[in-house]
Amino acid sequence: MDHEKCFVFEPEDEHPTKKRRIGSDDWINTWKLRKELYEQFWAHQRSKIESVLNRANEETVTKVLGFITSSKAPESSKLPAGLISAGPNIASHGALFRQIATKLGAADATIFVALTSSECSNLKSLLKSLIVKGTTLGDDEEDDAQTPHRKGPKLLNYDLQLLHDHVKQNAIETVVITFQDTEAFDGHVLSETIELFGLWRNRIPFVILFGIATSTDAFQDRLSRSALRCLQGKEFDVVQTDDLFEQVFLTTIDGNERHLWIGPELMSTFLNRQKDHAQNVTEFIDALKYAHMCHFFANSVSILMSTEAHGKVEISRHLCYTLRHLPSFEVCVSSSLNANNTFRESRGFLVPRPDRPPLSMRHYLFDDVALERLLNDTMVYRDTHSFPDMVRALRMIRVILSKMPRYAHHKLSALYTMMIGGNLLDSPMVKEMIAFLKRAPSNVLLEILNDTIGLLVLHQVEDAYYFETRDELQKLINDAKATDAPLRSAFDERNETLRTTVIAKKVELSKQKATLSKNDEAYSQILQRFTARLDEWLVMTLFYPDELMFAEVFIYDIKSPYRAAFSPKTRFAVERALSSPRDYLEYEYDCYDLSEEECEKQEARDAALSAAAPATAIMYQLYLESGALMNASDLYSAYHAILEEKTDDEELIKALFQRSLAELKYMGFIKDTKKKVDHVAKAAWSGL
Amino acid sequence: MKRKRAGNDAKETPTKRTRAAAADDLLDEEQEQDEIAIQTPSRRNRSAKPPTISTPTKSILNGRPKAPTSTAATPQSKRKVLFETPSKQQEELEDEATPTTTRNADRSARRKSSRRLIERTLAEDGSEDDVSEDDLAREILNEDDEEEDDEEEELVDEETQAETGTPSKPRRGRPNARRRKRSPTPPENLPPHEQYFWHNKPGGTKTSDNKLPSDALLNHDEYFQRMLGYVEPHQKELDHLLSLHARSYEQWIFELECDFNICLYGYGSKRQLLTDFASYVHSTQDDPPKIIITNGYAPGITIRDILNTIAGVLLPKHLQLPTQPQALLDIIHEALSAPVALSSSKKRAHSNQTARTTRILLLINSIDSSSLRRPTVQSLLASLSSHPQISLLATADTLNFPLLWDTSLRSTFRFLFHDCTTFVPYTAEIEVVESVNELLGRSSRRIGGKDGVAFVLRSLPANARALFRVLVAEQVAAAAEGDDFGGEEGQAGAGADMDEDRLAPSSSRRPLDAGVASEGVEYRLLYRKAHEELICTNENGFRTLLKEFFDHQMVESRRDTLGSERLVVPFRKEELEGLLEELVD
Repeated sequence: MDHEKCFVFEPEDEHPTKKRRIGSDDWINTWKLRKELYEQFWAHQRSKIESVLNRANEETVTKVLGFITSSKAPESSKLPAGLISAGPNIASHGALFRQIATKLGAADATIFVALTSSECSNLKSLLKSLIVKGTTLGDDEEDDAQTPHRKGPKLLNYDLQLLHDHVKQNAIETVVITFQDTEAFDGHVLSETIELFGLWRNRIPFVILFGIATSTDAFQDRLSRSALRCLQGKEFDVVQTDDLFEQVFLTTIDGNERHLWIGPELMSTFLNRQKDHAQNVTEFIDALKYAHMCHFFANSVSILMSTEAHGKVEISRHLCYTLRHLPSFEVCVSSSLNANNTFRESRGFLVPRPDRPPLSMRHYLFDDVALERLLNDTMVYRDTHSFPDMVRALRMIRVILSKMPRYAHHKLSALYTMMIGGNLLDSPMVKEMIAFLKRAPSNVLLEILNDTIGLLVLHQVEDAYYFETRDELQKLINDAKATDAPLRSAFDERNETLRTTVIAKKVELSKQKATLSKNDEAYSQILQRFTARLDEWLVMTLFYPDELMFAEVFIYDIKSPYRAAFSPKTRFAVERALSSPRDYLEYEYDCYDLSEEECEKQEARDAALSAAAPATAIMYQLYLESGALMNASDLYSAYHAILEEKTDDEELIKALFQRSLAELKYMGFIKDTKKKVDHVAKAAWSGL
Repeated sequence: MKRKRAGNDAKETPTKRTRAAAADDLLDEEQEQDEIAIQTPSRRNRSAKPPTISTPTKSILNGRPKAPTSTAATPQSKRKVLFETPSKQQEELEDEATPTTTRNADRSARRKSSRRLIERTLAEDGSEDDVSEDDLAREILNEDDEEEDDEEEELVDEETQAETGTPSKPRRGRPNARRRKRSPTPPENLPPHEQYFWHNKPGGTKTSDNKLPSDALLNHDEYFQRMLGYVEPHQKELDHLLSLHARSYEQWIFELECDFNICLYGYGSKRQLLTDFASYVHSTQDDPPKIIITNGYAPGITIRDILNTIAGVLLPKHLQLPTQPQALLDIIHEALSAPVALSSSKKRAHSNQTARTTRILLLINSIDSSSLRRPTVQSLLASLSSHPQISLLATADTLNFPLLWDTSLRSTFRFLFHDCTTFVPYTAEIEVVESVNELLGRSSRRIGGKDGVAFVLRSLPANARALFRVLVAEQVAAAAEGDDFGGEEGQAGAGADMDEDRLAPSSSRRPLDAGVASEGVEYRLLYRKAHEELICTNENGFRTLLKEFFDHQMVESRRDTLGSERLVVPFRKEELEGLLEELVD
């Protein structure tokens, strides 16, 4: 079996006894339930995300389709070419082109051929694959298509005449050819192809689509002039990754349904990776999915995420025990002890229901039913109030920030990360925002109010205050229409003048408020009320996860699994295993007569160099110590000297020497060299 | 003034010079030869130039009012950072004072003695006497070095007291330079990039010319015999590691179910782990997927092998499969998506229930093996694994395997990575003996080396054996001749030294036996010999015989500088000799 190339696995015994699944009983019992929960929650998120993604591409796809249909009538001799600037992330191009392909597939009398750079190394192979794909994929009667009914000599398989015959036969109106990874095509091949297509344009109705990752200018530079003359291009822009990412992110946190929240650490890891490496929405979606998977797989309290937890999921004694030992619960309890033995109403998150007066601490600590009720109440309240409010607050901050030139491009995802890390409310940004609001002229305030009302409608929240304020402001503006200039706030810099006075030979600078007009005064009052209310509301709404009871149930914030699974340090892992094998294996080795401290210092090295270390690790240590070239003979004597301590068997040492060398070579640490006889060249430097 | 000063120095030196020269004559270390050969000529040139530029700043820096006489040589010391001390100039002038002839004589004496030393070191079975002689030589040399240093210091002390008063401890230039240059170990704790540049600095790292004796490596039989009963010293810990990884099985199953694929990396063979996982999946799942195990390390494996196996699971046996992998892949995808259409109508009801949910778990050992490394293969694997009903769990062993995939390929693979360091030796993955032989450029990569050749020869007709004998004999003779030709003392490698001295004194030394069996026998010559010995009667027959050798890679054809064809038996000298013995017997 070891040396077979590929085989179907058959268990060794015919009727294998069911193996016991690995894991504790408790884990196995609840895992099924949690898996269901995972599926439910993730399916919900995914459908939301997918709708956003589809919407994002839909616009472009419709435009492209319109372009294809419109170019059916060959009014000019030029080739219609759609240049789709899909952004630098090639991974997302595929989805877009598939979408176009499926839409086109539905249309009649159209052949859709997608060419990739790998199959088109030269003109001939390009034409071959074009003809193969064009003549078979277009219709179902493949056999007929293979044998064109044509008189005369047999055509070569890269003669476009074949395609022409096919087009005529099936009354095809458009032949759409896409070059998905345009940048990867050879420029000359592309130019030649275009010229050739241009010649056939009067017989075969070509439409070409180019997927462009760089820019149209760069694309143009790569084509020859005569090829460019054949083209009639139209550019299509795809929603840029950044915007798409924001949209996707917003939909994941939006809504009144219960869902998993990503904690600050993990979220910032996501964002950094997105910014620095990935630039790819699917990567984020995968990461989010993985966070869901981890949460439900490894966290036993995640079972309480269930929306039907009340009654259906029986909260076992065991679970109650776990709940009481959650760090967040402990924090809440200890802080409440300072406040009359009842739970503090922490920023409005724990609004006790009027029918259930807050109980004393003792109840929650000893009464499982009370604890369960508490959990349920808080969860429900959060779903319906706290979280939607929080999202609304974030969006509102975003709206106001967009009016400030300095923060105009601040992303919602960044705001969220700050918020969930508990840094937003006290951040200089929010303070500046409030200061900005205080000085805002009436036109800005009106815009903000309008946007806010839009948000309210979107979130289906009723708050008469904003409507009233808007009406009031509108009225005021209408009254003051004579001046045409926006109303100014009392704090506006333009209402201040600097005055210099000389008193007793000292110059004094003093600010003096200009007297406000009546309208301005009225406006200032509206503005002040608005600002104060907003400030208060933000303090109430923006929460800090540490203050949330049972945060562990619905906030996932462990970044190590994500990091390990998505951006592994694969090389480091191998190097570490070999350089300090004791990280993995427990074995004794001779510690020389060193002080304890020195011993620790030397530990890794010595452990790796002692005869007790795995054979390859010893070799690796020698490898680390040598230069770019290694003399095999010297290597052997050094190796021999170390292993001598353990065994007298020369043959064994030789065998291990050979095995270690072979393994290092297999893993790509060393390679053969012709520079010197019996020498080995280093192929990798550790840490690089 | 300058001249005068030089004269003083010259007067001073002779005692020392002769003493040093005498010591040199007696014995020397191998490096010495290089040093001198490399350095002295240029130095002589330099000191021959009239040293005109003086740098007063230097003397100020040295903290002493410099006599105008002593500034002469400063530019030189500036040029060579190693010799910054003021006493350097004396050294320069000393050198000049020494007559060239003496110097040359010294050098050749040194060379001889050093060569003797090298040979001793190389010779495996040096007699007791030799060894002790060498040891003695080394001892004396070391002693001498020390003496020299001491003497220098004394000398310098006198000097400094007498005229300079430099606080710095002046040293003789040459030994100092030698010591610095040699520095055998790189400075410790270099950052990785510095380490790289240290290792790759021009001039390269010096390694010894030791050769691995041919018996240092085991052949197949010996190796396997030795490793057969060998138990890993940490077997218990290894098992523990495996059991730790086994705890992740449930997690892996879950991740695979979630449309992710998994890539396991880390040191150690993960074959056992994969098989174990396969049996775990098979026995714990209620509806186990079809499990297909692929050994990527198996030589000559192609993507077709994998696709065919999968197709064999999915499709009826009698179906004619396309030869193009891409087409095959399409069929597999089709079969997975619409199993009903492909199965016969009788089974339809049955397949509706089972085949629709056919899931395939593809386990690939070493997805980064050399046979699967091609981009087309990887992209096929990626699109294969992107199907929701196919789960892929692959292992990777090489250091830089993530470089196999660009972003788009990687997003198609949807890999989750897990560190699975097992420390289990790669027994199935590597052909240890072959691999090491190849690494060290040993011949046995061809048909199992010398033994293999003997085996082939046994199955060949007598005249073919005779021809091969002639060829080997000629090659051995030619190699021996080549050695004799160049060497002063008839030793291998001497020729190379000669050349070097004459042509490029500063170039690094070639390996001692770079010419091992590389020359071979000229085609015409061999034909004539064969003809003489009545092995073949015409060239056609000769070619036929040779073809057999070529087919078994026992002979290689090369063109020499003149363009004539030479036939080479690609083995080392010792092996050739052994082969010849066997053939003659």
